Amino acid sequence: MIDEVLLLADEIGMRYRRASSTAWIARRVDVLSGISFTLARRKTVLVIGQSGAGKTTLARCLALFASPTEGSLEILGVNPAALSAAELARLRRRIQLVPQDAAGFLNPGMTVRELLDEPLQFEPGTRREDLQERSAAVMEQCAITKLWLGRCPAELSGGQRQRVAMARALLTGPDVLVLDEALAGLDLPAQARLLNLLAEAQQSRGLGYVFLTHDLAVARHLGGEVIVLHQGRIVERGDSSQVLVQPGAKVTMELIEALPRFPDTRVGSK
Amino acid sequence: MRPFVLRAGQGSMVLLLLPLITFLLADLAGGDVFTDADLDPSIPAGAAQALRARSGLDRAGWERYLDWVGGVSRGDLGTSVNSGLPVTQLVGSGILNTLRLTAPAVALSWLLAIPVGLWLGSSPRHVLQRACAAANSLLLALPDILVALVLMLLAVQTGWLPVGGMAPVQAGDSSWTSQLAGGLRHLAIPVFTLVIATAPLLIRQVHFSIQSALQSPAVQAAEALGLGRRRVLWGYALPLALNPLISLFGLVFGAQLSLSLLVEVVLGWPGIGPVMLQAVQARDLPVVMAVVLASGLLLIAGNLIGDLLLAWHDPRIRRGNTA
Repeated sequence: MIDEVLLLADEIGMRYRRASSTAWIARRVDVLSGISFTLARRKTVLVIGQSGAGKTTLARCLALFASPTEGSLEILGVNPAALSAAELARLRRRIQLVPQDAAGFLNPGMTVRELLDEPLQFEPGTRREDLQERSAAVMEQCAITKLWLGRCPAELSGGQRQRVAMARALLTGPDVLVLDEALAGLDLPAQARLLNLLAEAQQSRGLGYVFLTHDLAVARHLGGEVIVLHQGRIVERGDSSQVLVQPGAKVTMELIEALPRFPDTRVGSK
Repeated sequence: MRPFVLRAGQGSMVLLLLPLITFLLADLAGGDVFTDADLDPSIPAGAAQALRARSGLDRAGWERYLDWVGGVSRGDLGTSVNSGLPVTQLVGSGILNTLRLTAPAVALSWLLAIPVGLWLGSSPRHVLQRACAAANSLLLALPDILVALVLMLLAVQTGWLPVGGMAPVQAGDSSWTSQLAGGLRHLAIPVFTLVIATAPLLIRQVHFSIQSALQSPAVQAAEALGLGRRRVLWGYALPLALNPLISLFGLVFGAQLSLSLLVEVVLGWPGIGPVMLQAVQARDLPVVMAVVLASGLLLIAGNLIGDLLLAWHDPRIRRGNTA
């Protein structure tokens, strides 16, 4: 049985024109080029690369925050570029971005309760009881306690904010989550909690993930198809069990070598 | 609550220091309301000194200041040495008229600035928007006094609007509607001058605040919920852009108050401006002190209102957490 395709990126690219004070003609900068992949339901595509590889630009394109200048993108079988504003607004709810820094993403003037109620306000056809039930289930899944509800984002820790951002994304009832370094900057227990949450949500809700990271430990844990980005281009791809164990590209090797190694300090070890 | 108590404390300090500094400066400058009489050969020698003694102006500066402070604490601002009228009466009616001018000017400036700034900030690359932004910058560069004079000239030339004064000369049979219409016609030019002087600055501020809010991740997150452009603009970008605008409210209120003093003098509006000018020219210190005190009070009230609005709008400030 062929899994349902949620997202199809076909040779997408992003090109900027950078004005220069020393050159007469604006310089063309290719931030992304020739990115192709397919994401099926309940699957994960891992995009790894060093800082500046183009991961965030790709995340913004996939989450419909920016339009690719080259190639085509299909989300749930639809090309967003061909949609009207109202149709695009509906499609946007199906693909959600969880950013690295949730602090800026959450409205600072709102409480957690308002932030979590917000995604549910735009479903006029759904019964109130169903919405409340969904909200309670997501809150439980993301381990959001009632104590947080009256707080503003500034009054939460980084991990708590990240969980609120994740809950907001899940409350819209998406099919695809684009996670842009969503676990970076969190301590290991918080990372583990969120990874478990993601695995659980993927199975229970049939979500597809595009996980962009430079952290190979997290990538290994998640598994799935790996795409290695370098200077906006794909330099290597394959299954995580193969790419992360026997890397072919120099960039992938550098990323693996950069993983911290701790000396064995157990008694009796040499 | 603590920030407001602190701000109220700061305001009280300003109100304590403002009259003292005014008094010291006036004392350092020398002279008083009878100085001209000293120099007038038609007035017998010693007459001015006798008047000074009668008004208590021959006493030491610190004595007169403490006397004034004592009076203020009892609600008595003294008597105008120049006109003989109670200062409270003289300044009170002036302040009321100044507020009649500045309150609609402040309200109109914001009512104009918010929609225009939103429109300019929401699609800044459109030709029409660019032309309007350029026209706004031009208005910003115009001196306020020039605007007042041009409007006055226009009103005199066309006869469309009255210049000078606050209300038409009362006719016996005039109804309240005609009185209201007459009052509004008199208000038009001074209010319009104040709006032209202030609104361009506010429009510019709203324009750039909205532009920056629209690029913020929080607004992009709202767009990702599938909201329409109008809802994102009014419901998300504007509230996010409001903090610097509310902070500006107190400052703009103060600036319009200062500007209104000039406009009142030029356009003959019977506010606190002409009272202040006459008092300074005549070296009528009790009136000058009262005007300075009242202006300070209004300015502090404007800033406190701004602070309260900010706390009402932003829970981080309300809870003393600005992280």
